This record gives sequence, C-alpha cells and structure tokens, in this order.
Amino acid sequence: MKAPWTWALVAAVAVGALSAGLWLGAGDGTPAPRRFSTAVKTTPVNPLAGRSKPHLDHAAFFPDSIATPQDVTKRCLECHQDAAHEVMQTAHWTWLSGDVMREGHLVRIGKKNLLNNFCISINGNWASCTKCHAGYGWGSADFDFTKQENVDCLVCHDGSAGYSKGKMGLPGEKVDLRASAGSVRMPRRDNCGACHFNGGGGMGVKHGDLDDSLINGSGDNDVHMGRLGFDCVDCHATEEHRIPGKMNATYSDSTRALRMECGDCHGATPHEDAQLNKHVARVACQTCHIPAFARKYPTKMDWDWSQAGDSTRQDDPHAYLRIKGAFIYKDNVVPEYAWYNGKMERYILGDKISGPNQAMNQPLGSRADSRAKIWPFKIHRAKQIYDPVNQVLIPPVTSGEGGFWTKFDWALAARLGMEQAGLPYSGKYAFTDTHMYWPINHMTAPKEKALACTECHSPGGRLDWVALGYTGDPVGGTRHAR
Amino acid sequence: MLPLDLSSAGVWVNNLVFLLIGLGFGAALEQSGFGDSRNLAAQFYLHNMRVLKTMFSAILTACLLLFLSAAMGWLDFSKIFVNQTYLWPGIVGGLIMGVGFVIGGYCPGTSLVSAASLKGDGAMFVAGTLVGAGIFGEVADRIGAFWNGSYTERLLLSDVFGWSLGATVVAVTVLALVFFFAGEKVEEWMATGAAPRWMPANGKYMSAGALALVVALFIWGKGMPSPEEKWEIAGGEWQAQLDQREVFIHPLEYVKTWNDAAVRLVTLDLRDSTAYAAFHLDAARSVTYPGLLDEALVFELDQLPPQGVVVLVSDDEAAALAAWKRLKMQGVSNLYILDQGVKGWGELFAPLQAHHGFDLSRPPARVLEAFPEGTWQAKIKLKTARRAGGLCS
Amino acid sequence: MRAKAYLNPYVGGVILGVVLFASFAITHSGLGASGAISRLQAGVMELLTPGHVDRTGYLAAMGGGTRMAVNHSSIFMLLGTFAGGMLSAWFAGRLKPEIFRGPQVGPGQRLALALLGGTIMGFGARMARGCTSGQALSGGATLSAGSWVFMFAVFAGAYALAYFVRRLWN
Repeated sequence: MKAPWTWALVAAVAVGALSAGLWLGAGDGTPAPRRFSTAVKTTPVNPLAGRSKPHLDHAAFFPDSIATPQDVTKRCLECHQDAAHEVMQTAHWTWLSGDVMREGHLVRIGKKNLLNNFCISINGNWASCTKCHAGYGWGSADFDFTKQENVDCLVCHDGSAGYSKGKMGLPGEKVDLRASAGSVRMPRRDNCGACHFNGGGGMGVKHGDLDDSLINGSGDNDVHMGRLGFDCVDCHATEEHRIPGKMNATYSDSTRALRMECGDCHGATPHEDAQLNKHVARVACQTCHIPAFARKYPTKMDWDWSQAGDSTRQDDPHAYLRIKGAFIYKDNVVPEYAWYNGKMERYILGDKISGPNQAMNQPLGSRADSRAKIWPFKIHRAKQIYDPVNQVLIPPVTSGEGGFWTKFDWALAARLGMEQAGLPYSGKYAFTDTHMYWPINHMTAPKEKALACTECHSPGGRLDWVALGYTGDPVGGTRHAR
Repeated sequence: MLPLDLSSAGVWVNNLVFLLIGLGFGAALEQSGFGDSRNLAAQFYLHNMRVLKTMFSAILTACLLLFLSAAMGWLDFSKIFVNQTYLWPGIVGGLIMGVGFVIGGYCPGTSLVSAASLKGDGAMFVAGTLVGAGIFGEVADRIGAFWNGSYTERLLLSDVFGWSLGATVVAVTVLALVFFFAGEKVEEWMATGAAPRWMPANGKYMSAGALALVVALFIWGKGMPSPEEKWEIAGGEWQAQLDQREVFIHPLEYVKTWNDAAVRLVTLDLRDSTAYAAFHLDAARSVTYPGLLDEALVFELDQLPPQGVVVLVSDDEAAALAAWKRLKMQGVSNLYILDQGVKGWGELFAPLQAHHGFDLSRPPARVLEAFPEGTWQAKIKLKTARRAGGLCS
Repeated sequence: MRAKAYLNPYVGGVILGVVLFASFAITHSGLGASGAISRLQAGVMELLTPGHVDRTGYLAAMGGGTRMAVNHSSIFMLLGTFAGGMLSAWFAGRLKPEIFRGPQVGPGQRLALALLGGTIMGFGARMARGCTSGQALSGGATLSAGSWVFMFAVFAGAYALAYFVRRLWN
C-alpha cells in the first residue's frame, strides 16, 4: 500500500481493537490479600455475572378469566407440552424422594409415607398437608397421580405475589387465576419460599437455614442471596423440572442423587491458604462458612407433643399450642456436626424403634469413609407418640377427620392413624424422644465471618472429636496415622 | 425539559410522531445516496468513503446536540434510552452484519429506502432481512445463554474509560474528525493514485470541524449539571409528589416490600456511621450525602431492573429529601423515603417487640397482621417498563 | 426528470444527526429498522403459524397470545422510513425501477446476492439487537459502549471480506 493514510486508518482500527481487548481482559483491580502459604485459588464462577434473565410476559396468553386451576394447567400445556410429564417424575409431585432397603427389598419413601418429628405424618391429614403439594386435589389416599391437569404450575411460576394455596393444594379463595397465570416467570425466592420457608407449620420452623430473612436480605445473612442477588434456581439449576440439591433424603446405593456442590462454582481449591484447602477433603464448606443458622428469625429446636391438649394454657405459636404441644425456639443456633457421605439411613413406618432416643434419620459416614465429610446439622428434638408394646412410632391423625386437632383425643388419633398406615396397634400409646437431622446449607456468612481455626481446634471448640472418631484434636498433641 | 413525555398523548399521536421521524430518517438516507448499494459497498473498497462520513457526521451531530442540551440543562440524559450492552452478541452479530453488508450492499434501513425508490436489489435485500430475522428467531432460544450473556444494563464509554461524559464527547469528536480527514485523504489517494496533500485545504470543512470541536470542548468545560442544578430546572415535576408526601412510605409498607421477592430492594441509610453501627435495618447500607454521587453507587443504581426499589432511611427529613432529589436527578425511578425514619420505626415496633421478642432490624412479616387495616396506605407504584425501551428490542 | 445530485455526505450526515436528535428529544429513543423488520416477519408468521409463534420464545415476545407483533411504534417508523425514502426519491427524480449492481455482475446475479446479503444481515442484526440505525447511530450517539464495539465489528467484518468479494462491486 502506498499511502500513509490507509495505514492511518488501519492503525486507528488496530488501536480500537487493542483497546477493546484490553478492556475485555482487564481485572477488577482489587489488590491481592496477604497469604500464609501460596496456593492456587480457584476464582469462583458467578453464574449471574453479565447474564440477563429474559422474561416473556405471558399476560397476552390469558386474555379471558379462568374458572378452575386445572384450566390454567391445561392452557400451559398447550405450549409447554412436556412440562406436566416432567414434573410428574419428580419428588415435588410424587412426594417420594428416596429409598431404603428393607428385608432385601427396595422401598421408595418420601413425605408421602414417612414420619418426621414435626407434624409427623400426612397419612389421614392429606387435606391440610397437601397445601404444599405441587398439585391440586390430593385429599385422600386415592389421589390420581396420573392426571396431568392436576399439576400446579402456578405455585412455582406465579409472579403476581397473589397466589396462595389452601386445602388439598387448591388455590386460595382470593386468588385471581387469570392474573396469576399471566404473571408466570422463572421461580423466584418467594415461589420456593412459600413452602420451603414455612415448613413445619410456620415461618422458619423447620429448616433453620431457610426463612423470610433471605428475601431482600443482607449479605451478612447470606452472601449468595443477599449480596449477589442469587435466586434459588441460580444454584439449584433445573433441567426439565428436575431440581437438584436434596440433601436430606435417604438414598440406597441404587439411587443416584441429583445434587450440586459448592465446588461446582468455587472449585477444589477455593482458598488461598493451602492449609485451608486441605480441609476441603474432610470438612464440608458449610461447616466453616455457616457458623450459625436462624440468625434473624428463631427456629423450632424442640417439640414436645406430650404436653398438647391442655386447654388451660394460653396459645402462643412460639411457646405452646393446644393442638401441638410445647416448643422451644432458638435463634443464632450453633449447628451440631456429624460425618456425612451423602446418604442417610431413615426410620420408616413400621420400623421398630431402636432405643429411648430414636433417630428419625441418620447421616451415614465415618472418619474411615473417604467420601464422608464433617457437616453441620440442625438437630430437631421432639417427644412424639409411639406404641410401647409394638415398639413403633405412631403416625397420628392430627388435622384430618377425627384427628387430635379437633378431638384432642390421642387414643382416637393413634388408632385412626395406625389403621390408615396399616400397622398393627396394641391400643396403648406413650411418648418417646426422637431427634432428626436437618443439613444446614443456606445462610452462608461472608468469608470474614467464617469460623476461625480455634472455633474447632481449641479445648472449648465446637467439635466433639471423640464422637467423630478421633482420639483428640488432630492438631496439637499426638496425631495418629489416618 | 427534554425528552418530551408523550405517554399521555395517546396511541395515534405516538404513532404519528414515529411516522414523521421515520419520514425524516428515510429522506435523509435517500438524499445522502444510501438508496444505492454501490455507494454503500464502495466504502469497503476505499474509493468512496460516503458511509463513514455520513455515519460519523450523524453520530457526531446527534451526540453533540444531546450532550450540549444536557449540559445546558435543556435535556435530562438519565431519561434517554441507552442501548443495553450485550458485548459478545454485539461483536458476533456485527461481524456477521459486516459480511452481509459487503455481499448485499445495504443495511436494513438503507435497503428500505432503496426498495422505496423501486430498486430491485433493495427490495430483494429487504426480503432477505425478513428471512434472516426469521432464521434467527428459530435459533434464538437455543443460543439463549450466549445471546443473553455478557450483559450490562447501561454502560457508557465514559464508564469504560473512567472519563467524564464531556471528555468522552471530546474524544468522540476528535475520533470523528480524524476519520473524516483520513477518509478525505484516502479518497484523494484512490482517485489520483498519488500521495495526497497532507494539509487540509477545504475551508468549509475546516470551519465545520472546528465548530464541532469547539462545541465538544464547551460541553467538556461546562460539564453536566449537578443534581441540584437539574432539580432547579426540572424538579418541579416532582414537587407535587413531595408536597403530598407520596414518596414517604410507612414502615409497614417497607416490611411488606421487604418480603416481596419480586422487588429488588435497595435500602440506603443516610445517618452517620455511629448511628448506623448502633442499629440499622437488615440489608441497609450506609451512604453519606456526598457518597450518593459515588461513581460505583451511581453505576450500580443505573443497572437496577424496573422492579428495583430504593428506600432512603434517615432521622432528618430535610436530609432525606435532599438525598431524594439528588438520586431522582440521577435517574432512579422507584425512589422512596421511610416516613419518620429509624425513630418512627422504633416507636412503631417497640411495643410489639417487647411482647413478642423479635429482631427489630428485621421484624417478621406477621407484624403486618398486628395492625388494623387502614393503618397505612400503599405508596409504592412500580414503574414496570424499562427506561423507554428501544425500537430494536 | 434528470436525477438531482446526492447531498454532500457531511451535510446529509448532519441532517440525519438532527433527525436522530429529534427522535431522542421527542420519544426518548433513537432510530431503528431491524427490530421492525423482525416484527414484520413475526407478523407474517402469526398469520401463517400462530401456534408456532406462541411456542417460540423469541417470536412470542413480539406476537404471542393476543399480542400483535406489528402493533408497535417501530413499525410506524419503518413505514415512515419507507415513505420518506420514496418521497425523497420522487422529488429528486430518482424514483424509477432499476437494479444497482457492480460492473461485473448481471442483474439476476445481483438480485440473488442481495437476497443472500440481506439474509445474512437480518440474522446478524437480530443477533446484535440492532443494525446500523438502531445500534451504531443511536447507540453511538448516546455513547453506549456495546454499540461502539458493535460498530467497529461491522466495519471489521465488512473490510475483512471485501477483498474476497471485490468482483461483486468493482
């Protein structure tokens, strides 16, 4: 080329390209922090960085008023033809999420047929319990699980904040189905939270690490949801309505759980300090990074059913309810720790109780199990009804017909419940202690508030080393070969 | 203050306005010779730099008019639609467009003008764009992660380079003038085959260029009006709202909004650091009055989605109002003040807290039931549309 | 009628810039073309296969359900652009059917190339969420970073290919 001016143009373009390249490659300018030992720290992948979540306004698809919730579902299925089928394969529909081996057989279990130590069992109590079922009309044992139009699309996808569910999972009376249907979008925290923040009968009762404080919450309360603005589905990334992440399920060896892990974004070496990275193999991230749960709202830690029925006591949802008994709520609770390899053993209907303090579920794993890590748990303790002769826990009828919540008659509630469950009943009932493990995964504190070394590695530390299978604190003193 | 608000003018007035603007657009394109694909393609063979000259003259003119009006306080730039940045889709799409440009000889707007002047190639090109857009529509959902990625809601060149708006305008002006000069010289070289004369000779062009530079330098020197100055000019629009206390929300409405997952709530606490450390609402951030103009905060607030709500907390109502005006002039749409501030908050919830024992910084949603209906009126009305969506969206 | 000369490119550009500014000043937003073209296409699809429009996210956003893709301000701007081009051509004596083409290309070939170029351009424009009017001119004037990058990409793409298709135009 002859003329310098063409070169000038070329140079201008080159300069522009170079600037663009520099801009794209530029870091965020934060200074490197001090380190004790060098390690390769994996920079976490932020799934929300630079991502826009497009939203298709569905109002134009629902111009007319809608009479029944099933009409909504049918309309959804006209375009989203596979959606109901996909949901029907999942635990949100079947309420069966795990399995156990009993006498050589694989038994599928879930909320449908299990007991817990909160409201205990849905058997006989379907109408009120299925308020949180992702479907319409489950009011008895005969619910038809094959009818697609009974899948509830709105509970997860409603964007109007005006959708609620009542008995048998049917929409509340004031719900405007047309407005709700037209507002659908990807689930936000209030969709998941409508059920998962309110389990066990009230806000914050059950999980301890899931409650309303996560909505528009602070980064101190939960780094991902408060500071980074993650919605549930940003970690629980769902394909074809299969939502990963259930930790509190029992899985036999034949079932593979669909889960996600901190390491999926944070990598295997998330710390700069090599000593901390060594902990990753044996200590769950949650252990150090969730120092306490129920930090804003208290959670139920103890539930004594045996005190229920006393009409002379004043009802107070945080202390005593005639229908339920006496409770103890705590906030800022320090978790209890146990080895957990991802599978739990589970007490199921008909199992003989093992002793005076029955474990409703038991995290499996030990120091010797290389897949196990030390996890934080909320342990909910209860005193609940059982059959002392047959040595089984009783699933009483509570909210259902003839149940304790209307008749205040344990004998009746127990008999009806055992009949429903098809279990032999001696006619005698008493109350026994139980406890249940709830893994703590949310309310991740900012890294400045993570546990310091001495929280565990000190005489008054959080971990019961002997219970965990060590002779003592592995740091300091004699260390045994692993 | 510009831009005009045509929302109350009715659909047909709006449509007529767009039609008229389109008329001007089409006419200007056709008069500039862009109804002829040969003119357009010639750009890429360097013997006719018409496209470069017209495009950059247009951009420069509009840019100078926009920012001159903004600097003089005649136009509120925070209300102007700025294309969202989707970096990689823009780059990939742009490269593809370049290929289409040099094969077909038009771009969508010019092809319309060409078709309108009865040119067969223009008409075929328009038909092609329909097909191409259709193909993209089929593919779009599948490449959604890419197409919706590398996104920033409102990113200006001044943000990228860390310069003031005025400095960026000057830089753009200089770039355009350099392009014009280079374009002229390339044309000269391509026409004569000999090295062009270096000295710029055309007096008219020199004057025009100098004028553009002078305007740009003036914009830089004058700077954009401060929020207070903008308020003097345009704040009257909101004074009625302030007088009728439409932007003051009751603590119970705040609690309700807190628990509304559809809203992205940002709470700014304007009190001093000691008061903040002693007590603050959960998720509230401590910001000083000068800190409201902090680049990082302004940028962050600019990226808020339509459901973003900003609430100001202070015990000094005058301070809260001043902060409100400042942020309003920065372009925050949904902006409110907590009525009675932290003091009122404490007075309202303390009796309840004594009885029920909850964290005062985060009362649970059920406190709403403890007050009779009519205790508070809903004031928050979300502006659900984007800041005037663009036409190509 | 003998065709009038085209305007001086800078003068044309300034006029275009004034129209662009007027658009911003009156309507908050700038000019656009490819969005309206996409809506036209969606509008045609609505007539032919409404179910498909409902089911394809990109199309449904414009024309799903009771929405009409062509019921949008950008369509009026498109009509105006067309009318403006036609009127301008008429007054300037340039309103006559012909096929502009490079000296080495026949008319049939040119039409096919225009169709091909348009298809590629339409695809790229929707990928970039705008074309030279919506992104380069409008986004450029408001200093949107993405628009400036886009503009350089268009020129880069065109210049990169230009040598290889030089026979089309020279």
